[in-house]
Amino acid sequence: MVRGQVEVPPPETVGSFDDYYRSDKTPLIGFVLKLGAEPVEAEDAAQDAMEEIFMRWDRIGGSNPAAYARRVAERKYVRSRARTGIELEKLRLVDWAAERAFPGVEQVLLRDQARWLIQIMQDLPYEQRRVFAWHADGFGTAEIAGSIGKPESTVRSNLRHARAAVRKALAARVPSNTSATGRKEAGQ
Amino acid sequence: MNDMHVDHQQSDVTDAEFDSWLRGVNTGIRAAVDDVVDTEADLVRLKQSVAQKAVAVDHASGGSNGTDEAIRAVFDETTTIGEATVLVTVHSGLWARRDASGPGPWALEYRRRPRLRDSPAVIRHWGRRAKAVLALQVGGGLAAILIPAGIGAAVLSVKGSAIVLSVTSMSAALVGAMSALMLTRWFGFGRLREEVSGDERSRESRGSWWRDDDLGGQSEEAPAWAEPARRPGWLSAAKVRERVRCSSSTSPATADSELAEPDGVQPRPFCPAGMTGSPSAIALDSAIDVEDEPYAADHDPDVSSEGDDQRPPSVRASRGAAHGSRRRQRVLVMRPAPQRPPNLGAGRGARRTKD
Repeated sequence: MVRGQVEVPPPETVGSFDDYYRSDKTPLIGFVLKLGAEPVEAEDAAQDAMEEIFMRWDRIGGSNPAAYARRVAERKYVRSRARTGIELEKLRLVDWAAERAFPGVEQVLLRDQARWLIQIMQDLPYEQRRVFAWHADGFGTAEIAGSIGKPESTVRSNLRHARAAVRKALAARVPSNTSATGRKEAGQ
Repeated sequence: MNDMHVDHQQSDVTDAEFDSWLRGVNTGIRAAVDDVVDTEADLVRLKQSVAQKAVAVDHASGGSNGTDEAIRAVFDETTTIGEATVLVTVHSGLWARRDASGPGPWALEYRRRPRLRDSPAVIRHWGRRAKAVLALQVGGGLAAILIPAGIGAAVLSVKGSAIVLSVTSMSAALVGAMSALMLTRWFGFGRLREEVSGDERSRESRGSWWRDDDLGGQSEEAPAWAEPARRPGWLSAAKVRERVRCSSSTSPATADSELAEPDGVQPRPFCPAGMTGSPSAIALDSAIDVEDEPYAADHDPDVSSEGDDQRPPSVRASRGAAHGSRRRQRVLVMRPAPQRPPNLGAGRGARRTKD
């Protein structure tokens, strides 16, 4: 059913969307978090992406909604960050605001390992970060390349560099003499 | 997933260990997010948002049965959250309401606030607006001709006295003004006043909203002022009344069966033609509690949730913060300015300071 610009999926497909929403909403928020978003931004981006998917569910429900959701969520997050950046820049010009003057919500939300991973990912270039976020969510290089519109070789290269950087940081964080304990703890 | 070559030179973490560690961290992130996100409530909000947009577009396009179809499409019967509910906001001014006492049909409730464009002084229709402008021009033109003519005739009169001069000029001016007023009222504002008359104005002046109770019993006919013809973009009171009437006598079972009816089925006798989707549409057999704030206790210091919530205070605080993120403005930390802040607005009404 189409009402002007707003499409509403057929009623019979709503139930399957509900199942998808319940299964992928949380991972989608985690994906945006790994891109560098704050929890608030991540939740908003994920919800907006889910809304778009809901309105197109009859077309994309049978294909790969998870990849589509991540693509839309990433776009929403980037736009939101751009808007926030503009507002912050205006306030910063008059010395009125400081970004992240206190630890973000993720500092109390996430546990040590997750917080550390996200922090390390913020040091990566954006292309490597986004590829690593897709990779962490279980997508292969071909799927990632198809979703973000980059050549697979580029995706593979970015992923290799990202993994190497994270592994290097992980090795430096977990000393070799305590690596067994650290790895056990990290694997939990 | 792990089919790529990875540089091992600068770390002693093996591929398998790294993948295992990454999976664990990813699971941890999901679990942490899952603790603070109420997925079911967000799902209902999502559907509300979609229904709201669909209804808004439907109204903007003139109003039709799409309103009900949109609600029916978005809120399916399996949507449940909370214990019971009461009200679902579908659109600004349009609500889906149901008794909290038990399962029953949803009823659309139309609450109407007086708006600027509903004021008798504002002409909405472009045709009437053009007529009013034309009438004003004609009236003004007559006045512009008659007033100087009257004054001139009086001045040129050699036989009249001062009283005759005044009366002549005043009568000429009055004729001009009255003709302008009559023309304007006849063609423009007067017709609009007829449109917004009687009960409607009294309702608006009381500030009351239309409810299904206000719309009368089932056998009552719609009043003349509720005719939808000249209210584009709004769900007419007559339609709302019919829908409420239909929904109030529709059982959930009937609604269920009607959901599967193919197109072309004759409407039920008490529903007007063209509203075949209405009765079942508003019979939404679900319990949606969207008015309830799930984490009110986290924000309200007077409400203690210690007994129910075993999570650490920091997590509970973050849960409230993260949950209430939808459509919330980002909070920026303001540092006290060392001096009076510069004028950001720099517009009309901006406060000027003297250094």
